[in-house]
Amino acid sequence: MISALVMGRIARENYTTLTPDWHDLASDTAAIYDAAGIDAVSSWARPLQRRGIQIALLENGRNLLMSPLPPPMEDNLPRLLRDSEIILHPKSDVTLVGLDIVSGDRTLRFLAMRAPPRGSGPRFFSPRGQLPMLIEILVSLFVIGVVSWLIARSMGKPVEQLQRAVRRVAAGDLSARIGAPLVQSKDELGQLARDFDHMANRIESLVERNRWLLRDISHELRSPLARLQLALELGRGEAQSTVQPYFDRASREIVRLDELIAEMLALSRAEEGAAGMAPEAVDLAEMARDRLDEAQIELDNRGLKASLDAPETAVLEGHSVLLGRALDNLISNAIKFSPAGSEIQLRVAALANGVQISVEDRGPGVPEAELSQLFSPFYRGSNGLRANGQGLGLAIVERIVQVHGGRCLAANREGGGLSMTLILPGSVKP
Amino acid sequence: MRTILIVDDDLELCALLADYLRREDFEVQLAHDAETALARFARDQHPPDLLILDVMMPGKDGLTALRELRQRHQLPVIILSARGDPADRVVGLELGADDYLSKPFLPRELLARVRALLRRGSAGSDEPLSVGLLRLQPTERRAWVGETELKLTGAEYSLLLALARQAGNVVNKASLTEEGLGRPIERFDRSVDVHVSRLRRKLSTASPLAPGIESVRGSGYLLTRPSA
Repeated sequence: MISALVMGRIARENYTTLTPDWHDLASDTAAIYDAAGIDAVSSWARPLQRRGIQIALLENGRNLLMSPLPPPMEDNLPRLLRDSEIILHPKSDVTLVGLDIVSGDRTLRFLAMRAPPRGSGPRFFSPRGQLPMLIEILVSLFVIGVVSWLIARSMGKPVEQLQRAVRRVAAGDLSARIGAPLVQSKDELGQLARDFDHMANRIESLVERNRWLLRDISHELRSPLARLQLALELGRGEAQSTVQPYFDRASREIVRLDELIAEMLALSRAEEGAAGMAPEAVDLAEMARDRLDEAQIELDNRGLKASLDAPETAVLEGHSVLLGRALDNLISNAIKFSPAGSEIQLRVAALANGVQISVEDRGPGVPEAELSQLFSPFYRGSNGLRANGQGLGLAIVERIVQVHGGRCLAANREGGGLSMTLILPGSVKP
Repeated sequence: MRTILIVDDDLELCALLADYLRREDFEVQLAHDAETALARFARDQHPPDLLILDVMMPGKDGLTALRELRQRHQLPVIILSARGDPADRVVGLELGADDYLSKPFLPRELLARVRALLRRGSAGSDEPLSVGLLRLQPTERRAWVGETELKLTGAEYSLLLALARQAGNVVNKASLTEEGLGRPIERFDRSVDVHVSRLRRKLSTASPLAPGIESVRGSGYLLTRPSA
């Protein structure tokens, strides 16, 4: 757009300032006519036409060139023939010239018209050859370059500022804003900056509200349960021994309800994903060792063995609290379904682009047709074995893995048992 | 009779809990916000023997109150939380709580923890013992590094005593939980780890030459004997 503007301006200036020497043009025409006849004149006239100049050659009012006269010339013909030499400007951008020229013993009337070519805008007109035009192009390119550079520079800084804020929000810093001076700017980038800040405000308040809501729900549900548990215990003290089993049952139901609340909150937290949390370097090999240590008491109680096959380290960008929870849930499930005396195998392996974690047990496994439903909330296997949990453990695992861009696989093992595999993508630091 | 102060904004829970603990022969005092509780500590010549403190209260929350309280008092503190945030537990223990229970809790479990914290290390001999610069006086439940007395909470003192009695040997987390907190260890129970990290800090602040506490993966902790 800018180049068209500059070129157009240069062209217009050329058109008005550089006027051809009409006498030279006329005598050239006469010489060509003398030497080679009227056909040579018409072929000489063609390139002139491209420069916006049309000529005609008249003898006693008769047009020697076979083409009809252009309308402005035709309209002004009487005046153009009047004096021996005349220049008319019927319109501001049209010049008409009438000159007498001598060819041999005859006097011919040379007519010329210069007008902007029809249809397109003004064209380059440089009778003095090609060199000035080259300079003009170079000058215009230079001007274009300078203007582009100025524009690029004026856009580059705000774009960089926008980019920084976007990246910070993406990395979990929801308080990142673009702020002054860009948001005060009246151009499109300023508008974009204001819209971005507005959006960031909304995201931050939604995430914040969600987090508060989770805490409030937890508090509001658990406080009455705590009172209920105490009331039961007080009632139990006064009750006869025959009703004690019912108190036990009621107390157990409170514990189950509490576990369900905990799992639903955990699922909800995992769904909320890692919003507002910056990812950190997590050593999954170290985490697997820790989590297995934690589970040792439970393993001992159940008479189970566990083995771990892991590299020294397997560091991945992620959310350690969430990933730890996923691993705990898998280990808990394996413990829950393992027959006494069997072994649970935990493997951590670095992949080309990520880490694979698997937990394998020698439990009853899952019917093939149900493997895919295993991760659905509240799913319970049809093979009669009910877990003590609330049916959300694996849904939480899947959600956490999805938040990390990975996937979960469940398969029955050869020789019996279930194999759960998590594949977490990311670059693995040695 | 031992006195327990319950600080919780849930009036009904307070009333039920007070009934329950009174039936178990404790004297129970109630406060419904942190300011009132702190004021009572500032005023009373005889502070309660144990504090049960709710985390989430309007006004000053339980954790802030605990931090202020710990600057002056080393009485056993059990914090309660209905927020269900695992971070609360760690923060609470780091601020010097002796134990933590999340609501809803089994009343018998609370009772067991209360009794464990009040039953101050009656096991083992009462002979004074020393490991390098560290000296412990079990009859008074006091500890020194060189001439500097350590300000320890009940749980911290019990843990240090358990480690000192086995100095140079690894003591596993299960028995540290039994001896330090008077209860069996649970899965995901980081209580001992948090107490030990506080202990380490207090020991090294007292003197860089104080014996250190090393962690042994999968086993537990050991108090290092000076090599000299």
